[in-house]
Amino acid sequence: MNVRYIVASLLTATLVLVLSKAAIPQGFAGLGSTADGFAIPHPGGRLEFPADHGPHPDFRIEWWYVTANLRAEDGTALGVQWTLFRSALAPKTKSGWSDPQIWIGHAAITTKEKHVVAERLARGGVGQAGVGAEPFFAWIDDWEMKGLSNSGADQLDKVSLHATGKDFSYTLELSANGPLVLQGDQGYSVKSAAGQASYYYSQPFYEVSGSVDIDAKTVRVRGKAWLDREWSSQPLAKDQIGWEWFSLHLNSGEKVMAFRLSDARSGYTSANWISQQGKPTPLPAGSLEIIPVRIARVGDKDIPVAWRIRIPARGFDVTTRPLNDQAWMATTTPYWEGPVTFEGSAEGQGYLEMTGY
Amino acid sequence: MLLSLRNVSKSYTTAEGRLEILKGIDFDLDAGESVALTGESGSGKSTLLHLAGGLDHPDTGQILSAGRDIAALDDRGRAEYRREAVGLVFQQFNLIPSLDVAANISFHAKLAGRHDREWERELVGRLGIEALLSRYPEQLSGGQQQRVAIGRTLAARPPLVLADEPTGNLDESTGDAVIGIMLSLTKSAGAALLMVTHSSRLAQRLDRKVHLSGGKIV
Amino acid sequence: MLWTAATALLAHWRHRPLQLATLVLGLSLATALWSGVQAINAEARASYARAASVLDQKELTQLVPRRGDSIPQSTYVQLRRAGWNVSPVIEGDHRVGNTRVRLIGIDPLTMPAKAGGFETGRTSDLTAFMSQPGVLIVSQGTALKLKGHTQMQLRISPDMPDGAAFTDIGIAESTLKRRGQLSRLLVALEQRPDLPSLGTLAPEIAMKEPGDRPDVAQLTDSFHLNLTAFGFLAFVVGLFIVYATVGLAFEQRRATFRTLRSLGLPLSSLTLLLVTELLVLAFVAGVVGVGIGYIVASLLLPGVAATLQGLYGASVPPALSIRLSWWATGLAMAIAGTILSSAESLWRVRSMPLLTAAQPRAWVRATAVGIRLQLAAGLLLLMMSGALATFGHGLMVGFAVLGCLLLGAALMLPGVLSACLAVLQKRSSRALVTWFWADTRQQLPGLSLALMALLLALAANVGVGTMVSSFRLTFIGWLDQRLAAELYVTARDEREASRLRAWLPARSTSVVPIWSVEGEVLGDRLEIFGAAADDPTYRDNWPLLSGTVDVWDRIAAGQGALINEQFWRRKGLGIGNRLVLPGGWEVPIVGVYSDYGNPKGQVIVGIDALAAHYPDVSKLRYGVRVPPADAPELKERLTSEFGLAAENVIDQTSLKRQSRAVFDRTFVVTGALNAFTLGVAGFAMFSSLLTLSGVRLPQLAPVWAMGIRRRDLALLEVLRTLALWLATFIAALPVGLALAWVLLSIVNVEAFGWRLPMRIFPMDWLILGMVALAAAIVSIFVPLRRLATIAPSDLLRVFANER
Repeated sequence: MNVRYIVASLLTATLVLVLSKAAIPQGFAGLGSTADGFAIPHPGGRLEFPADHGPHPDFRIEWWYVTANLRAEDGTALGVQWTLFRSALAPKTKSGWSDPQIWIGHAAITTKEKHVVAERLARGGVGQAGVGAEPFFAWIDDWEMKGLSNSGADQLDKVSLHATGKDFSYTLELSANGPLVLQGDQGYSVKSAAGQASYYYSQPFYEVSGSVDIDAKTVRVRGKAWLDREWSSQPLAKDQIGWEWFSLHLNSGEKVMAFRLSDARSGYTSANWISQQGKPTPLPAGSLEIIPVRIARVGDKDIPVAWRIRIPARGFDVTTRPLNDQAWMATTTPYWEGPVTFEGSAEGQGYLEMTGY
Repeated sequence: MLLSLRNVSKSYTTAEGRLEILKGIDFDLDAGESVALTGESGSGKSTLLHLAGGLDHPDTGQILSAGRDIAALDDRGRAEYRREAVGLVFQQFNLIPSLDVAANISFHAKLAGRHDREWERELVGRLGIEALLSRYPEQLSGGQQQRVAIGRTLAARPPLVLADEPTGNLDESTGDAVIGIMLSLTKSAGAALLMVTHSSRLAQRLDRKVHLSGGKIV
Repeated sequence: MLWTAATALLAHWRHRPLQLATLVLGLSLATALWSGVQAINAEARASYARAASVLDQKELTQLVPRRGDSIPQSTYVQLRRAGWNVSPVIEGDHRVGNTRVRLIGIDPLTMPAKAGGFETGRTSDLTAFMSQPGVLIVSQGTALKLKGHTQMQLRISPDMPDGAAFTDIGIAESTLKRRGQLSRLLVALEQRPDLPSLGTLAPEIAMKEPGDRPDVAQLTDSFHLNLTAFGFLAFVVGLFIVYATVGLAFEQRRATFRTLRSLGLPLSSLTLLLVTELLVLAFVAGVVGVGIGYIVASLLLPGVAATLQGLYGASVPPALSIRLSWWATGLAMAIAGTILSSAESLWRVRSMPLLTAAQPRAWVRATAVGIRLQLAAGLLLLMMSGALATFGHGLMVGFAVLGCLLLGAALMLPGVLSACLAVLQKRSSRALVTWFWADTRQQLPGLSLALMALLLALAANVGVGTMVSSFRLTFIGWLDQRLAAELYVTARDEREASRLRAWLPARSTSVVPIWSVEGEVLGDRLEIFGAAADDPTYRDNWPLLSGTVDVWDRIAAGQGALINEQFWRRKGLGIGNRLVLPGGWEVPIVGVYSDYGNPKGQVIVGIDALAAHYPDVSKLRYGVRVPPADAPELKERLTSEFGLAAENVIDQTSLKRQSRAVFDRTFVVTGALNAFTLGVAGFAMFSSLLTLSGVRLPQLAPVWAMGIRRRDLALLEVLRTLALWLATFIAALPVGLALAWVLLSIVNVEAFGWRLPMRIFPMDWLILGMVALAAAIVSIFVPLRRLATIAPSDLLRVFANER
């Protein structure tokens, strides 16, 4: 046991919270409580931009989460992930090494044959990592997500994205051809039947171009990307097992966000149907059904990598296939995250995240 | 009278109890005389010889040599007696292993204060050991060792030579040759010889024979 | 059959309990010293290793400031932002209650995996680690001292060295008041390709490659080498004992072996039985030995720990922890040693013809050829030692010189003694005297191992004693010169320092600033001191090895620099060479001074010049000159009236007292080891003599028969032993002095960079001689008693009985 161990144990304690991306539910006991003086989301709290693009240090957890489905010039498909998590030990910021804000970066590239991952850790207060709202700039070490928009436009309309790992790097430019989408009720996203919630908005309309360095080759790429922004404070419930979360680009131009949170009971599902113009239609709880259709051996675990997703109210019934079964994020807190394609009543591509395996 | 034993007794304490070896021995030896001491194994031949040589002392009785009673001497006196009045030749281990043959031969003579180079040279010649002078005892055969031992003993010109089975470790022909040399050299040195042997054939070559049995002379 | 045979073989020991005791005790003693020394070394090394690997993360490349003692936080961020995978450390001394701890602030988030190596206990709560009031990860001992004096949580880790604590960098930053000032950066092994170069990113920091061993380990190496040499020496000496005893036991059982074999016991079974017997004995002796070794080590360790702490500031826990590895190595050494030393005897049993009569031959025979070969080999080794000393360089060469010298001298001893005895024998005309020398010479082969062991033990005593005494005398003399000021004071901060500067002059003869900066000179990081060159403290006292006539005037004028001996030797500098100090200041070297006990280079310049070139030099330390009688009073007033912390005022007398105490402890340790080694050598002699006394009868009987009393023979035996001891002692003196010379003039220079003048202490030799004499007399006592009381009948039996 060494220093790494401390880090590992810290991160299991804090990252579990961070990574509960789809929802931050809490057991039925302790309902609505705010541990250690952290703020909690409340309905009717309106999001304001560009301020809310920046960090919310009085909330326990927060992330800037980009996933991109790309194609190289020769048509090869690949996926790219860029994530910056913020996890606070206390609801405040301080300048210097005593800052309780911890930043964690995850980056990955997934191809049919390969899945490469990198992770960065830093604390705030010294300038090694952080996020500024205007001009928008999120960074950890040499990884960046930087706003390139002209004044007047939203800061996130145009961003550049950069990350490096031991054996890869990428630099992408993302331009939105649609508006920001507020999830849930005007950005107040309810996560459980008991009313747990987070603030949650997305930018699902990015068109991407750029270059990816992998296997000592530089490849030009184009495609679509999806940004999620979410922050909250409530810890996971004890009965939480894990979750499946989908972000889907339909070929029609529509977008679907869907998740299921597994617990000891039937779980909690939620979905949002987003029109070509970016108008969200949150679907009522229980209108989503997801069923595993194929299990793959990933490391020493059995993981359902292909899923059937049904939203009967919309006549939506598709089956997703992963680009690479082995899209395992071997980070401090490990999970599965990778690009998928789907067929059925609609066709398209997207990203799947699964935890708790 | 060179040596007289008067009523000499000697016993040893062994695991089986007290063992009487000699029971009142009377024995005389004249100067220049050679006497063979014979007897069964364990009859006390060697013990008698040791007493005569001042190597051990009797329980009772007198051992007179040149008018002195050796039996009455202390350790120092007996050592002096051994050094000056007797010469000893044993079955084995006669020689000092750290000294070469030449030094061995003159050792006793020097101790006794009677070192005589001429006499030594003559002895060496008659013993036929000229070639061995710079060797060490362990480099000699048994016969050679005994010749050197005789030379060593006679070089000191002792009036009395005591020999305990001097050829016991040698084969017959070598033994005969060694005995022959010893007898003739003792005679020419004018010394008396008392020799323990179990061989009556050898005993016959001496002037007189004394037989020991049951701790007494018979 | 096998069992019956074993019973027959073992019966031997029942009849000779002394022999059995000798064998077991000899091996036990050897193992004891070996494992005792190993235990001390292992404990000390483990603790340095802990200190080095845990505290300094030595196996990683590090980034350190080129000047000053801090790296700005912005540099760290700049490096991280450029992709460098580095992790920050803030460290410094922190006082908790009465305890000073080395506080090492780490950032667990960026800490490379390899930097750890210490147990954290069940620290699953990083939140507590990273939040106020913080967590201190410390050793058990440190935790006990800190308990109740700090609000921080104490976590005990068995791998932490004493006196140090890990904590979060945020906690360290505020506790040590080093806001934004990083001490160093650790460079992780895993880095992304094509990193921008350090030179362009942050020219103000330097890269320090891993493998630069901690200074402390380098320094203490020689001390441990010393101990190891003692331990090994003792072990070799112990093996001589085993060799002698096993040889005797085998010789005495020849008849038994023959009988057993005639009765049909196969040779292989006999060998098996004998090997088993030896292994069992070795095992028993090994266990006893490791046990005794543990006791020896735990008796010595506090002294060793105190010595190391005092001499080098290396912390070693004064208590011993049991390590499985000693048991293993101790037992292995005992068994290997037994096998090694009984191989010859075993071989002889195997090659013994079945039917030949037992030859009455001594088991040790003079082999003139062997002695001559040994002599030639020894001579060759001595020549090699001389050649190495003349032409070689480096620490390893120094040790090789030592090894060749000792081994060569030991190998030559029997030959030289034999030659001397041959001459003596030739020159003597009296039969008994001739025989005395001849017989002594004949004993040589049987005693040569014991004598060689004795020579080594005595030479080590003389050599190490001379070295330690020379060191002590030189060091204390040097301290007297160097610590000229009566009081040494340290202000807590610049404000207190300026108050001191105002307060002191009226109350003292003079106040001498002791200011220094750290920087890189000729590629070495070293301290640059300022000297008030006009003060008699320097002018009259400073120990210069060489210098220009006007050295102090030039220092005072800021036109010259003094360097210490180690820097001078290491860099091959000379008076008049120009030295570039940090910041490009160039000065000529005007003198060299001795600086014992300091592993690093050092430069002294004029105090005004120092302050002018390095305006931000810390001005907190001062030497205060007062009439010695007034020192205690001023010291008292400094604390009570002025309000300086008591630990910030040190008076010269107590400093010197501490130094002397360190040496006295060193003496205790070396003295004890010397005594042990000598004791084992004495025991080797005893067992050799005991062995020889068994084969002496056929050698002595004819002399006795020719009229030498037993008493006189016994007296001659005593004289013979004493003559051999005396000869060995005389031979050991030059060897010991040569050893001391090599230690002082070669090993010291190579290891530490300074040469110590050799002082000779003939009184010490006299004492050693007396001890050796006592040991000699003890060693001969038992064999002698045996001889003096032997019955004539036993002597007579030699002549008639077959052995």
